[in-house]
Amino acid sequence: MKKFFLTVILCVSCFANFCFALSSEEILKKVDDIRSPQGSFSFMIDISYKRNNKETLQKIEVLVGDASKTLIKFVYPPTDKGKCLLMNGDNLWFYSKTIAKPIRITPQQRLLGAVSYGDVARVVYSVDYNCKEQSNVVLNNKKLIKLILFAKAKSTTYSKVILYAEEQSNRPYKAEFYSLGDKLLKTAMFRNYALLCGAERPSVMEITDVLHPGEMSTLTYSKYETKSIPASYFEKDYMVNIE
Amino acid sequence: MKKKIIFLVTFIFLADIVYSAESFKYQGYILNRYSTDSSREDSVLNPRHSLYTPSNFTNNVEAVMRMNYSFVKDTNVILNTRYEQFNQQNQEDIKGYLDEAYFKTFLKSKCILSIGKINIVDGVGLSYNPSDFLNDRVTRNNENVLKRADEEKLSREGSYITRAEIFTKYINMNFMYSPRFENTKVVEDRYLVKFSKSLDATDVAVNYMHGDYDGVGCNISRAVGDALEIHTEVGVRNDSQQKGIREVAPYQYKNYLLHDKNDVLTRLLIGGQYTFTNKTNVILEYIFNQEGYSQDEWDKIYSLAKNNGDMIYNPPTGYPSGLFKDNLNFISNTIYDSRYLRQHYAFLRITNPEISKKIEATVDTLINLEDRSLVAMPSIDWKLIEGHMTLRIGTMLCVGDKKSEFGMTPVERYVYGSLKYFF
Repeated sequence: MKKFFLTVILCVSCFANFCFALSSEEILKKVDDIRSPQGSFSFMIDISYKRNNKETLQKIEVLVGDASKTLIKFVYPPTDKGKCLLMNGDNLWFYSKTIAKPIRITPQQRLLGAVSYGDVARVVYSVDYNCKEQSNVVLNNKKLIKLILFAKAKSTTYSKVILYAEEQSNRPYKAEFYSLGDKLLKTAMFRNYALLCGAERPSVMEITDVLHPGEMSTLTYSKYETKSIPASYFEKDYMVNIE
Repeated sequence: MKKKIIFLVTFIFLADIVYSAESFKYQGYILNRYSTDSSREDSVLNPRHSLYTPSNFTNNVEAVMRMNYSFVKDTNVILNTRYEQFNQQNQEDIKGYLDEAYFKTFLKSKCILSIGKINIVDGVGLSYNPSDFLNDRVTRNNENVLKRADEEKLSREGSYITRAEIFTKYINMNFMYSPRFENTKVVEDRYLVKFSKSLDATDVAVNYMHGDYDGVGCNISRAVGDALEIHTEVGVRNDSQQKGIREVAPYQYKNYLLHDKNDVLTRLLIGGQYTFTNKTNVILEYIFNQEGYSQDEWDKIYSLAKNNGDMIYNPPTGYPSGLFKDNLNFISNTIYDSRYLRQHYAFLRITNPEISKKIEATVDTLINLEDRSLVAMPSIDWKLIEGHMTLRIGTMLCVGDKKSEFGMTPVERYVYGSLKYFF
C-alpha cells in the first residue's frame, strides 16, 4: 500500500512538472521581462571600458518604444554629444551632426570596447532569437537553465547566444555570444540585481571579449522610467532633430 | 559703462531662462587655429601677387554653442550661435552669427512644428547635395576654406522656415514655407514638400520646391551587406545662377547668366562608402553639374583672365594698370561665385578613426575630372584628451596646371594646426 501511494505521488509530481514546466520560449520571455520593463520607457547606461589599466567612459540615454524600437542618445563625452542611434526592427541607423545624415550601420559594429551597437540597442532577446534547446546545468554552484538561442535573421548581432538563467527565478545569469562560424566572441555576466522600474533587474552587465582577454566592458543601468515617448522619435527622419 | 549694463542685463536674462527651464542642454566647441599659406607667384588669377598679398600667417578662433531649452514637455527652443575671429596681417576681423534660432513643438505624437531660423541639411551626398534647394545658393565662403565638406554644412546660417514634419506608418512628410528677406522685407516665398520612406535596407526621399524657381529632387540610399552603403541624389531645377563674362567695350566686361531662366538643368551625385575590417572608411562620390562651364566657356574665361593679368604690367597705351586689376578681380569674383565650376567631379574621402588609439587620419580629395586638377586635404587628429580635446594638423593642396580650376587658384598650399575643445 505504501509503495502504491509513493508511486502515485511520484506520478502526480512528474505529471505536474510536465504540465506546469515552462517551455523554453516562456523562460526566454520571463528572462526578457526581468531585463526590461514592458511598454515604452527610458534609462541610462554608463559604459566603462578598461584596457591596460586605462578606463574610457561613455554615457548613453536609451529610449525604448517597444521591444523592436530603440533610440539611443549619446550624452558623454562632449565629442559624442548630438550623436544618436536608432534601431527600428532590423534596421539600424547612426546619426552624427558632423556627417549630417543618418547612415545605416550593422548591429555587429563596435560601440566601445567589447560592446557592439546591438548590445545596447536591443533590450530583449526574443525579438531576434528563437530558442531551440533547453537543459538544466550547474554552474558556479548555481542551478541554471541553459537556453540555446539561434538568430532569426542574418543581420542579427550574433548568430547564436547561449543564455543561462537561474532555475527558480529565471533571472539571467550569464550569456555567451557566438559568431556565424560558431566561434565564441564574448561572454556577459548579469550582476547587481536591484529594484529598477518596479522589479528586480540586473543593474550591471559585464562583457568580456574572448578575443582580447584582459579587456573588460561594464554596462551600468540606471534611471529607469516608464513614460510615453512620441512615435516619431523612432523614425529615421526624426534623427536630425535629436538634441 | 553702457556695454557693461547691456552685458549684465543679458546675463541675468539668460540665467533666468536657464534657471526656469524644465531642461537645458548645451554642446559646442572652441577652436583655435593657426595657418600659413603659400601663394603662387604665377597664378593666372593673381599674377605676381598683384591682387592678393600672401598673408603667411592667420589665427582663427571659433566658438560654437548649441543650446536647447525646454520649458514645457515636448516644446523646445533651440539657439545655435557662432563666433569667429580672424587675425591676419595685424588686422582683426570679428563676426558673430546666429545660425539657428527656432521653436519646436510636438503637436501630436507624430507631428512636429518648427518655426524660426533653421539650418536644414538635406540629401544623402557627403560632398554635394543637389536636392538641398534651400542651401543651393550659399556661396563659397573663404573663411571656411579649411573646413571639410561636412563641417562647412554646419557652419552656415539657416533659412527662415515654418515646417511641419508628419510621421505616419506608411510615409513621412515634410511641409515647409520659407520666406526670404532683404532688409527685413520679404522678397521671395518658397514652398517645399518632401516625402520619405524606408523600405527594408533602402531609404527613399522625394522633394519638390516651388518659389523663385522650381526644383525636384530625389535621394536613395541602400545598405548592401555589412560594410557597403550606396547612395544617389539628383536635383532637377531651372533658374541657374552660373555666370559667363562678355566684353561690352574695349577692356570693359559684364557678366551674364549662362543659362536661360527656363532651362531645366540636372545635378547628380552617385556614391558609396565601404568600411574595412580595420575600420578604414572609404567614401567615393561622382558629381555631375550640368550648370558648370563647358570646355569652350572655360577656355574663354581663362583667356580673359590671362590677358587682363598680363596687361596689369604692360597696359596698352591710354589705359591705366588699375583697370586690369579691377577686371581680373571682377573675373575672379564672377567665376568663384559658384561652388562647382565645371561639370564632372569626383570626391574621395579615406578615414581611419583608429590608426592608433589616439590618432585619427583623414584625406579628403576633390578631383576635377575634366582638367585633372585636384584639391587634397590630408589631416591627422590627435585625441589629446579623449572625448574632450583634439589637436589637428593638416594641409590643403591645390594641384593642377595653370589653366586648370585648382591650378589657377592664388593659394597653392595651406598648412595648419588647430586645437579644438569640446564641451
